[in-house]
Amino acid sequence: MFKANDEDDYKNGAAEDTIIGSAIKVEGDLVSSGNIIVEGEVSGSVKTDKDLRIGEKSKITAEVSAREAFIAGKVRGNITIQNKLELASTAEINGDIVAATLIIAAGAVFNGKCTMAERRVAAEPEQTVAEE
Amino acid sequence: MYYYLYDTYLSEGKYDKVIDRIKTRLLDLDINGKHEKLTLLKNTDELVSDEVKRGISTVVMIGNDKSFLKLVNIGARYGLTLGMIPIGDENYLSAALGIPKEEAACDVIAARKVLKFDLGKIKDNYFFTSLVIDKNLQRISIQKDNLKITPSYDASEVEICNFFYEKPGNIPSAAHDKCVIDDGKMELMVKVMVKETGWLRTKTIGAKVDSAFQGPKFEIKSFEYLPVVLDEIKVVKTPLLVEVEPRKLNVIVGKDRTVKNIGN
Repeated sequence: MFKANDEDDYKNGAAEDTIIGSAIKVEGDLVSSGNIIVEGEVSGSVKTDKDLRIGEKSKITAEVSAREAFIAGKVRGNITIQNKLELASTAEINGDIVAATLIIAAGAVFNGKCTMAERRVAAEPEQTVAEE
Repeated sequence: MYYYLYDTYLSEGKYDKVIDRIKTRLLDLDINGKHEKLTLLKNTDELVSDEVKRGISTVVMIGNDKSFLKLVNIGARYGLTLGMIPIGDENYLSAALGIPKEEAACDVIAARKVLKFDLGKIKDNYFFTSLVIDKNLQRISIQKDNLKITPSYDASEVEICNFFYEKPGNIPSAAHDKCVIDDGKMELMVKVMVKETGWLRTKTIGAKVDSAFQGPKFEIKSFEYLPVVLDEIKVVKTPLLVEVEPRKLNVIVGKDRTVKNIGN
């Protein structure tokens, strides 16, 4: 999921990456310019310009927004993804989804409304979202 | 003008020869200065303060990692350039800075390649490497911008890292790779114990990074006073505000350093 350029950013310390493990509980607005990995509990909002990965054991009660996302845990809240959203078989979503590409594995639970947005090119500013 | 400080443990006879070799090498390189041996009765901060008034701008510590870390606070306060000549064991920090041991380090001091390092700051206390809390973690909460982070019972240690270097007991992780010496940010890491279950008993291997955040400011709150260890040498108490002071400390480094910096 994380691309070669992102890895370079990560190693150079340019992107601000966040890992939320199972040993903490996070409340509030999580805004990051780098990738976010969630394996624990989050309530509030999660927003990143890059990629988001939500692990199997995670529980999120938040508005979620990212460039691309892979979800295997429980999410209660609306999800807005600019490009690709992938739901694993263990995912449980209670909320609306907006995404350009959606992959749902067999076994995933999704209760909500789904809107397919136009795919956003990386270099473009937030034009496509505005059209939505 | 250089000011050379010798740590207390170097008063043991077994270090006499190596100290003589260092002094000779410093003379050869023409970077001699005032030499002073520390004792239990001499306070490093007071000695350095007195010498700063006499015009000293570079202080070189002869000793190990802990000896050098004792200089950080006073060095940051007066804007000094710090160097080190490692002798003996526990010199992992100097290895990360690319400083060879004993008299070979004199060449690094003479070459005088200076890098500016960020420092962590808590009120008037500066720290170079990290801040660690390893007791009663369930009683603290950490505020980062609009985010409240609460460690659970699984957490074994909370560390705010300014500068990471490899040493026994420090398990490196991807989060540690983010520790850049002059990026104006610190890394908050919540660690969990890694255990190995054998036939008869469970053995603790070390602490693994579970969660990581980057930022220039963290506020640690607690209902009671809890001990927080700075650079493994100084203890302060919660609640506290931890901020980064960008490019605050000048340190002489060697060619073979492993630290990552953005610019100088």
